[in-house]
This record gives sequence, structure tokens and C-alpha cells, in this order.
Amino acid sequence: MGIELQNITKTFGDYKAIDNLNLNIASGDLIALLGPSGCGKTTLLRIIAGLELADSGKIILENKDTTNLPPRKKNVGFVFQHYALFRRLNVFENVAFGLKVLPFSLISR
Amino acid sequence: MSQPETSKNNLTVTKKRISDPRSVQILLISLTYLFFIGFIFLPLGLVFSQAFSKGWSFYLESIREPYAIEAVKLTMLTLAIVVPVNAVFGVSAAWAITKFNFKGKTTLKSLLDLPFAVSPVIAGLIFVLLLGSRTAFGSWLGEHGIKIIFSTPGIVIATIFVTFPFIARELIPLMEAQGRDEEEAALTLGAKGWQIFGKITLSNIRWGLLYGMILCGARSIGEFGAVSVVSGHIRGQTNTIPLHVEILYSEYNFTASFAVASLLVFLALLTVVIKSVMEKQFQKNSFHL
Repeated sequence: MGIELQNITKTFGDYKAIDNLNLNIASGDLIALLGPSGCGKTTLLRIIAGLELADSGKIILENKDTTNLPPRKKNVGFVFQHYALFRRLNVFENVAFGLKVLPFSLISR
Repeated sequence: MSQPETSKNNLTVTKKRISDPRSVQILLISLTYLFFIGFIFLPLGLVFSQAFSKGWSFYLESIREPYAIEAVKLTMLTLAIVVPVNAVFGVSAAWAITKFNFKGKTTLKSLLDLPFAVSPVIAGLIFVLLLGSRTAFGSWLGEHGIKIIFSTPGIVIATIFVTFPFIARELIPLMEAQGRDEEEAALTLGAKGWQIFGKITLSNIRWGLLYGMILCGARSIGEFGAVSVVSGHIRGQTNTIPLHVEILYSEYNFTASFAVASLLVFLALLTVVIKSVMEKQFQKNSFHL
């Protein structure tokens, strides 16, 4: 099983962005989340990537519970709405950034 | 105005629109020049003409005199402590205010302007009342041989207080506009906290940081009011350049006073030069950094 979301809930103040969501996505599936703005699509993606913490629920990636892992250990790719290119880095450095910040042990393997 | 019908009409209209505000241009340019002459060139010229009114040798003597040298040293020492301290504080305050949500954030943000709003004399007085020998804390410090008020630490503390908004004020709007996207992108790519700070955040804000540090430095060199209250005016020990200028002036030693004041002018001009040189350098390097 690729991505398994169990009972995800997220509130911002009084606003309930995600209410007890369960979703299973098989490996290799292509899934689109559709909905009006403010319905929690981005929030859900941010929770999967680890940029936001869910109030409750579990995120299981490749049969591994990643609910409390920091984003850099989750290995989730994320394309931002406004691309988020590093403005002070050139094209090469922008592309190379992800490799450069990898731990040495991973590079030498 | 009605829509012009032929292309010829169209041309004349455009031409007229461009050339029309000529009188306004002249007015604004001459106003700017007048202001600069009245408030910058004339006073600066006066400082130098007074400073050199008794000749080169007297000028050199005035700025080489031991008390003057001690004043310059103390000002430089203060500068060397205040700017790094405020840089660290400014970056962390701007970081906290723009990137986190916490209680009292809005209050902190508006309190950041306090040193600008409060008179520097009051600022100095606050620290005398807080750390002076008459207070419990001050006398405890005194018993342990630590002197803050009427001593160098007091001058440094008062200067930090007066100048701490400069860097944070410069950085907050910048960091607010830049948002968190780049940091989050770096996070998902596997970067650690310090890597993100060093490679992304710091290089994104270095312009504002540099500018804030220059403003902060300029102000800490020139700060008079707050420092005057906490310094105690001990010649050769707790006199900064501005205080030394004032003492010389009140002793009717005008020429020497203006000579030392010209040092402040040189420092100010140096700041401006450093700023523009660095700006050019950074623009050149920004493509392949």
C-alpha cells in the first residue's frame, strides 16, 4: 500500500479544515484531489509531506508510520503553488540543492 | 479629453503629455537641491571650515590629543559590540515574528518601535534607574565589583537599546514578503535547519540585514542622549566621540570641538561609501552565488 491516511483531522482555530479523513492510495496510482478553495486539499498535502502536523490521525507511507517524522525524513516530493524556486541560487544550484543537502552517508553509497 | 481621430492628433497629444510637467520637474529638482544645500552641504561645510579655522596643525592636535583618541576608541568598541549583538537579536526577532505564530506577537511587533518613540534621554534614565548603584540590583553588582552605570557596559547597553529596532525593522517586511515557501521546499528536499538558514534564509535577507547593520552602526556612533545620561562624562574613560564634542564645545573650545565633530562626519561619509560599494559588489555577485 502506497499512502495510507487514517482518521486525519486538522483544525485552524475554529475552522475545521480536515474532518476525520480516511484515504488509501495504492502504489503507482495517480490521484487528484478536487474541491473548492479552502476545503483542505493543500492542507492534506502539507500534512503528508510533514510541513503541517495533523491534530489527530496517522500517515502511513510504504507501510511505515511517518506521522511524527520531520519532513526531511519522509522523502516526499512537493511542488509548491508558487514553485518556490530559491531566488538567490542559480539554475544549477536550484536543481542540485536536494542532492547537496543529502547526508554524506547517502551520497557515498 | 475627446478621443483623437487621426494619428497626427494622437502624436501631438502624447508629446504634450510628456513635455507638460517640465515646470513641475524643475520645481521639484530645485526644491531637492535647495533642501540638500540648506540641510546637508551648508552644515557640513561649516563643520569643516570651523575645524580647519586654526590650520592643519591645530586640527591634527585636536584629534590626536589623548582624550580624543580615548573617545574614538570607546566609540569603536561600542560599535563593535552593539552591531553584532543587534544583528543576532534582529535576525532572531524578525524570524520569530514572521515565521512563527505565538501569543503576544502583535504586541511585540509594535513594541519594537519603542526605542524610536521614546526620547533617548529617557532611555538612558531607564538604565540608570534599573542598574544604578541606588537600586538593589545595581548595589548587588557593585558589591561584586561590576560597574555598569557611568562605565563602558552602561554605554553599550544604552546604545543597544536605542539601536535595536533598526535591523529587525528592516528584516520583518522583507521576510514577510518572502514567506515560508523556499524554506518549506528546502525542508521537503531534506535540508536540515542550519542548512536552510545558511543557504536560503540568510542569503535571502542579507541585503536587508546589511542595510540594517549599517543604519544601526551609524546610529550607535552618533548616539548622544542615552549615552550622555549613563556615561558620567569621565574624560578618557567614558566619553564617546559625540560626548567629547559637547564637552569641548561647552568649554568654548570651538575649533577643537568642530575638529572632533569632523571625525563623526568622516565616519558618516565612510558608512555611506561602504554601503554603496557593498551594494555594487552584491549586485555583481548575486548571479553566481
